[in-house]
Amino acid sequence: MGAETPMQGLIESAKNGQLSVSFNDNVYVNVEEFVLIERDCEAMKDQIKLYQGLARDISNREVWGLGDRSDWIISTPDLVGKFRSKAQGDPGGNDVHSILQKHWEIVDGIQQLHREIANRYQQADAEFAAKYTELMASVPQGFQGKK
Amino acid sequence: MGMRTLTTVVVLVGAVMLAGCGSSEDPVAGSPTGTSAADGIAEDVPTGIDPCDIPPEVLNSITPGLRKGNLDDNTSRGAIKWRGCRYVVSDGYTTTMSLTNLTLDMLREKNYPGREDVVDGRTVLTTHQASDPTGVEGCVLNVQMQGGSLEFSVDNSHGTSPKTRHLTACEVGMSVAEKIVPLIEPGA
Repeated sequence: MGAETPMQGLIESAKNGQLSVSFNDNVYVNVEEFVLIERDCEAMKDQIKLYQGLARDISNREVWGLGDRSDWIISTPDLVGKFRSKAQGDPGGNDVHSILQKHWEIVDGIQQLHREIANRYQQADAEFAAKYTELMASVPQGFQGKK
Repeated sequence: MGMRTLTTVVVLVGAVMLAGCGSSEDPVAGSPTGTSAADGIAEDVPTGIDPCDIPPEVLNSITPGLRKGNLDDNTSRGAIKWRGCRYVVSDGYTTTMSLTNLTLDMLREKNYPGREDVVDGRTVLTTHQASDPTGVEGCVLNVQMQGGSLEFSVDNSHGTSPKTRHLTACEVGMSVAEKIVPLIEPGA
C-alpha cells in the first residue's frame, strides 16, 4: 500500500469488480445521481484551481506593496516573507496552494470512484448505460447538485 | 501686478492643483490616463478591452473548454491595481485576463527571468515571478497598453492540471496572448 490514498484503494477495487452492491428488485439505481456527482466534482475541482491561481497571484504581487506606507499588512521583511510563503512555496507544504492541491486530490478521488462504479453499472445494464450517456452529454458545467 | 508676481501666482495655483490630483484619498478617477504626480503610476487601469467579456468562440480557439470562472481578479497591492477575470480549463490550467496600471517598464526593473515578444504590434513581456522562477507551472505575461498593461497570469500546477501539464505555463500564456491581443482597440 505505502503512500496510497484511501480513495486509490477503493478505486482499484471498483476497477477489479471487487466492490459489489446487492440490491433487491425494489431498489432503483439513480442514473441522475451519478451524473450530478460527476459534474459537481468537476465544478468543485475548478473552483479549487481558481483559488490556487489566486494564491499564486498573491505570492507574485507581494513585491508591489509599499513598505513605507501604512498598508494593510505590517510590512517588515520577515512578515512579508511569511505571508508570501503562506500563499505559495512554504517548504513544509502548509501554504494555501499546497493545501488546495490536497483538496483537489480528495475531490478527484471521489469523482474517479463514482466513475468506476458508473462504468461497472454501464457494463451490466444497457438501460443505465444509455441514460448515463445521454445525461452526461447534456448537463451544463457548474454545480448541478440539488439545493 | 508685475509679471513676476503674476508668474508666481500661476505657479502656486498650479502646484496646488497637482497636489490635489495626486491625493490617494481621491475616489478612483474616471480618466484612465491621469497620473499620480508622485510616482508616475496611473490612477486607474487602462481601457480598450473588457477582459471579462471574451466571446466563447475565442476562448475555445485558445483551448477547448476554456471558460470564465466565478472568481474574478479585482485586487490592489500598493498603488498597483488589477481589474479582470479568471478563466479555467477543467483539469487544466487557469489564467487571469486583467487590466492593470502596472507597466512593462516597472516589470523590467525587477529583472525577472523571461523574454520579450511582439504580438499584433504590441510588446509582450513574459516574466517568471516569485511563485515559480522556472516559468513551468506559473508564468505571467504583460501586454503593453497606454498607462499600463493587459496581464495574463497562468497557473498550470502539475498536481491539479493533468490535461495541460505537458505544456509550460509560459507556452499557455503565449497562446492566450496570441488570440486576445488582437481584440484590444487599436491605439489603446
